[in-house]
Amino acid sequence: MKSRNNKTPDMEIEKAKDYLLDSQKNIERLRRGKKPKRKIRFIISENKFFVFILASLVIFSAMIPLFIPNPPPVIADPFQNTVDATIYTINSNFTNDNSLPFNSHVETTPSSKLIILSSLAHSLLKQTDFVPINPDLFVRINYIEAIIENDSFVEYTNSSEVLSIDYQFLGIYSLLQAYHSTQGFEIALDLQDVYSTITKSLNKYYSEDLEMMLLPGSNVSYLIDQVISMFTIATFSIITEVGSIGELSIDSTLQNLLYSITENFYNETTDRFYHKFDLTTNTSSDPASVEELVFLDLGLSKSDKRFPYEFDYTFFSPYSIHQKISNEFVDDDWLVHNSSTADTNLLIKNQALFTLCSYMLRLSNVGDELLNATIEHFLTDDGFINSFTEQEITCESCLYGLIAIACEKWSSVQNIRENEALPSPTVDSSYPYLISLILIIFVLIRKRRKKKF
Amino acid sequence: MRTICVHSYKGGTGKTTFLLNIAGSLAKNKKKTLAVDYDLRAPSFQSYFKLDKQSYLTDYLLEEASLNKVIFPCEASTDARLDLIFSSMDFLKQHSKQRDKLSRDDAKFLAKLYTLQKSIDGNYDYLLIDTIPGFFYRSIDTMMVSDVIIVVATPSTSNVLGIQELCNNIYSMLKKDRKMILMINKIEEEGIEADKEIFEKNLATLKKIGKEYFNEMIEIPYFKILSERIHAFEKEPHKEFLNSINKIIKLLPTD
Repeated sequence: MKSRNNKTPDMEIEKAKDYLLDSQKNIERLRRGKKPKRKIRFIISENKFFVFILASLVIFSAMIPLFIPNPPPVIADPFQNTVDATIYTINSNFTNDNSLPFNSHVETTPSSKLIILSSLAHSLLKQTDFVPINPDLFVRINYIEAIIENDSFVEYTNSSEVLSIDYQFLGIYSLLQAYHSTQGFEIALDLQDVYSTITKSLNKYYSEDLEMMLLPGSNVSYLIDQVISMFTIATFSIITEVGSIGELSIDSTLQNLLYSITENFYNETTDRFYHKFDLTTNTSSDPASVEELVFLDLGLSKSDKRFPYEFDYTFFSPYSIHQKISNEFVDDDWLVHNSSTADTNLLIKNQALFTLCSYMLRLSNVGDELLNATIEHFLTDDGFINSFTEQEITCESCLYGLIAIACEKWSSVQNIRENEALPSPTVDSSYPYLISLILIIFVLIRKRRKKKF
Repeated sequence: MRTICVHSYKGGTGKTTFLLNIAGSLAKNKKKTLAVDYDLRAPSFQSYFKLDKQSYLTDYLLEEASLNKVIFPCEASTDARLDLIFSSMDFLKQHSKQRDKLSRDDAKFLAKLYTLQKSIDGNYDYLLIDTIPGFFYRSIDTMMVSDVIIVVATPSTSNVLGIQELCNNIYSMLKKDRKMILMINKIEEEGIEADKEIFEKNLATLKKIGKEYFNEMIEIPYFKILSERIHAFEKEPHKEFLNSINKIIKLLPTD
């Protein structure tokens, strides 16, 4: 501060005056028993350790949101009111005294097909938190067990009447979802029930010779039976990690089913799928429905997910099938037609199934458009209508409407569940890491040797 | 207790000699006195007194020693009531970090000095502080805690200009609450002696400054054999010099 020249630099004088002014205030503070006001830099330099800790804490606390994101704000789903209104309609108009669903005011008897669909829809709603967990919800999910007789799905009103093959496997899929929905609760379903039922169905309906699903002794096979069974078996195998059911190897069964579909239900020349195959004439007939193609799509997707290296697509992939449905059955308003775009009998079932398929294939943009079209064209104040031609609200149409709404969130839940259940990566996928490690060790050894010499 | 600091614009004005002789005379007159060597840049108490123990003012300021560990009784006179606090030139030369700390504009050291003053209040009649000459933060600290500021000046041209600058910028801000005494040491520096005209001119200027800015002014004649002695403790003191010191003491306030 001090220059020893005759003339002291002005800056030094100014500093001295500033300090003197501060000191006058500080001496007054000291006389009043207070501490002097010190410059912050001196306090920091004397408490470097604490300042470092404090700064670290501040930086750390500022960075916490990067590592531990705040829980997302609780925002009611925009479809919550729609779900509530639709469930209210089902409960008040289409549910009998035993909490079982019936389809309409004309069809007042509960059916097993509706019970399967109802169980599936309520599982989806439960897994996506659209409905509160209460005994009534579990009753609706668990009623699916009431229609299993000797490990087969039977008609609710007549237990000797076994359901068709497609509904056997759709029932198994619903049972699998019911198992997930009831996990952690006293009324939890047993996975063994699912295993027993799928074993029984495979043994009963899968022909190893013909490599297809068909009723024993029947000469006609249906595409819907092949594709729903394929979808269900692949999903079951993903979730349970089992590689065989009974004596049947799952990967070869799935592959054989696909070969059979390609050979018997598909015309490569016309690129068309068919609804049924007559074994006596060896001919396929009737164009495949949207439902059949949707389940074929899902069956392919899940089979590939379960056996990514073994499964061979042949002529088509999940995305080519999805593209095919979009091209042939979906119009400019994102409405899914039954057979061709000229058809006017638009069904909510097709709309909901293709929405579900799109979300499960992670094609969210398509799923969103389809869902918007469903809401716009099928939703009324009281629930969903069944088709454009009938305009009637039924239990089935409401259940498909609920599936369409829930499937965006649910497909994410299901995909995560499946990914977690899949076997951990094999040594093949760790090759890059192993090679990198070997290279690093090699370089280090070479460096060491060079240093020695 | 009265606190008196002795300041100057530059070194070599006789500042420490006057301070210690004032302290010695006060002590000899039964006034319990503590003299502090706060001239951290050029401490010189050790030229007057022998110090066996290695504890200094800097130890207290840097919180490495308590106050009672750095106060030593003066053993030069058995009947005088004089205690001393020393500073070490070597210590600051060897410890650059501590030197840097002590040279900052940190109010912590004002607080330490104030605490020192309050701690000894009641035990002493006078606290005399030797300061760093010129514009230094630590010299401002000593002036801030003082009741009396004695400014020692010689009639050299550089001293006169410097004192004028100090008066304009520092002393003018302090004189409101303190007694300001200008002590003109009529030392004849080399060169000045040859030019009596400059000497007289500078002396006249100093006197003018003294009248304008100071409460009291005293002229000390030039005595050649004064250095490094406390005349009050001497068997044969320089009587004229002692008289001058006593004149200064008479200007000091008493409780």
